[in-house]
Amino acid sequence: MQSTLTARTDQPVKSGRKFTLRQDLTGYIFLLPWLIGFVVFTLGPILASLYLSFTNYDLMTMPEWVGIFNYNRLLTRDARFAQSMSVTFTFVVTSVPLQLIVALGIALVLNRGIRGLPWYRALFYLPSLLGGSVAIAILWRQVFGNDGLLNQILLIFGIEGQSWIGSPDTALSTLIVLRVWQFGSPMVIFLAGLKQVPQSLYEAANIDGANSVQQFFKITLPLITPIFFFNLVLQMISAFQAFTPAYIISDGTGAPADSTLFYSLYIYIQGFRYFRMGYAAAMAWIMLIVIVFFTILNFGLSRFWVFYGDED
Amino acid sequence: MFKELFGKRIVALFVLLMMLSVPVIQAQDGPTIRLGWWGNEPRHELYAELSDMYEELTGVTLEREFNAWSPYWELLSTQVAAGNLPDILHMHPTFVNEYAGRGQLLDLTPYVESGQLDLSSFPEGTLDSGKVGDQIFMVALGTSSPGTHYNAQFMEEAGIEFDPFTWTWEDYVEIASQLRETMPEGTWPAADDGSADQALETFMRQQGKDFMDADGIAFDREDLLEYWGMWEDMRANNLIPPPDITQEYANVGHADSMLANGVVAMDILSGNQHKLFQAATDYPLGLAVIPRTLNEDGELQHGDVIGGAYLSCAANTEYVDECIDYINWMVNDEEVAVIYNGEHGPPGNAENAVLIAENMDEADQRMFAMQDYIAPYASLRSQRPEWGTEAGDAYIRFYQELTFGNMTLEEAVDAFFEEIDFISS
Repeated sequence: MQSTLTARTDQPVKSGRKFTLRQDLTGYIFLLPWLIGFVVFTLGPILASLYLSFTNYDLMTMPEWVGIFNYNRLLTRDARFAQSMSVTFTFVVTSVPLQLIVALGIALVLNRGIRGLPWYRALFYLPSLLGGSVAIAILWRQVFGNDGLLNQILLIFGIEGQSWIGSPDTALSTLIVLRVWQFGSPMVIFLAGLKQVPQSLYEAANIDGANSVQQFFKITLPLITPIFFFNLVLQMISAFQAFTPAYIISDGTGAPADSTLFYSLYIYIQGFRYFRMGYAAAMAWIMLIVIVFFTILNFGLSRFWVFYGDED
Repeated sequence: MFKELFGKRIVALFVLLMMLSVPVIQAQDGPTIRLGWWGNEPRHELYAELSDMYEELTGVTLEREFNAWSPYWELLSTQVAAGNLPDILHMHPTFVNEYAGRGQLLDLTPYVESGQLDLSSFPEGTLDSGKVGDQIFMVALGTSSPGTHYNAQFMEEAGIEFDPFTWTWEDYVEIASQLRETMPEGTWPAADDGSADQALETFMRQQGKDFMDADGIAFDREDLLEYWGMWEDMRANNLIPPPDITQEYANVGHADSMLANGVVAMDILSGNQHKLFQAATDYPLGLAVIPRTLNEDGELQHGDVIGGAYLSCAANTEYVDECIDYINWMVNDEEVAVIYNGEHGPPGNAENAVLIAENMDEADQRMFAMQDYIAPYASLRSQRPEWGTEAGDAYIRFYQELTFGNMTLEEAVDAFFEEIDFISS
């Protein structure tokens, strides 16, 4: 073992170019397991879905080329497409800011050096681990049902409740609450960010007589904007793709009256319930474009409010 | 040192692998056949018991793939796409056209003709119900029609007597009004079955029309105005629950259902589920047909639909003989019939139907009695267009728009037909 190793390093490098080629090759060989997985299970299906989005494909017979028919039908005539977009936007625009505010708030409290911090951190993180699961979605039905926990509590205060998940006016709100409740993972990231803020800045501010509100807005908030931005992008993308809660709570239909018809749920319904796989593929590509657009928009806007510390 | 340890580990790994493979090798004395079915927990247990019996009897290994109703069909559609259907699968009249039409199911006709698949005890009508065109693609395990399940105690308390086989929609509304007087607040005489496709289908067939046929929606605007109008009147008179309550009870299990908990006194549902509801409640239940329509001459119009569970084989199965043998055993064996006990309604095999009728519990007797009565009038569901599922969903959706007050009756009916135009394009 030892001798071969030395022999190799002792060999003079003949030409720089050859050396890099060989190095590259080694690199690629080590990359291979991931690369194969990526091409076969990610890139391949992505390209296939792009092709399928221009076809009529019912899973059982061969896809049939229809040009931009699917896109045309979706964008100009499908009322449920507009409805599912509106449901999804409402969900993203309300749940993401609420969730981030709650996460930051809890992180600030935990950052004050409470005893048993790891316990609290784990406790608050728990919903994030459970939140996307089927069990929690079923629990949600129990909490917000007509005989559910929420109405029982309201009854103590003499308020007559209603079926929160059964009514189209409130069904989406319960899903937003479910999403906000899963503030754990942005909270943990915020906590890590808060620990990075140099203590010396607060000491200096104290000496200058700044109160804690001023310290928060002048020191903490500007310095954690990169963390805020990171959480915002991540949570926004995952909120756009929300699926499980709506699927479980409405039994996969988007009921009542399409009020919980999330975009991803509608894709699923078109693909696996109506066998319009080409149509569903077109929907997925529109979703991709929308998410890319908002991510780029976010990055563009970030120049105006995200402070990376190494500037000026 | 290192080498030695490494060597030992390799040996240990080898021994472990050998040990793991032993049971696999032992189990391989017969072919492994995949069997797919839909159902709930008790039914899964029932099929598991039967599958164990069959394995012991034949040495065939049955690989079981089971699911609830909708996931079962969703999974099947992806399995079809992959050319990977279970060898033996449970089939339903609603879907058989779709699968048989695309060449996914084995044509059983030659095996029936040669007698390898013995269906000699099947009445002609039951045998025909498994046909698409002239070919037999599925064999009935049991057939049943939907009916009106009612709470007999509530009926008695309200002093109501009626003929459960000849009542009309007028009687239905009238009985609901009478029940209203004795039923407490927070309960309702009838469930809101305006969105139930079986009730709609039967109603439309009574008008000489249908919910759907191969070309699409098979009823007119006026029919829907009349039908939805009836449910709207019932809602206005507090005879059926408000929509948010109905929504909340959508797709709950039998034990949590409105009927089992005395929240409603009548609900239109599949007949073979009667014993499941009875098992889930202390209330004595009864089973009536779906209410009838009287034609201009005052004659009863029936229009009942046959549902049920059937067995099919995948067209590309490697184990044709084994699959045929399994179907033979399931539909003809007397011991199986007793254990199976009319899970999906009266068995296709008429001799077995007589056999199990001897010691049936009361709920099953009621279901068999109803099935007996309507047998002459009941027929298979018409073939639906490719977009039938989508149209069915649209029907429910616009009914919800109506019940939640987002649309008026006329608006909802018009919007439904507009949506059908869109879907079918």
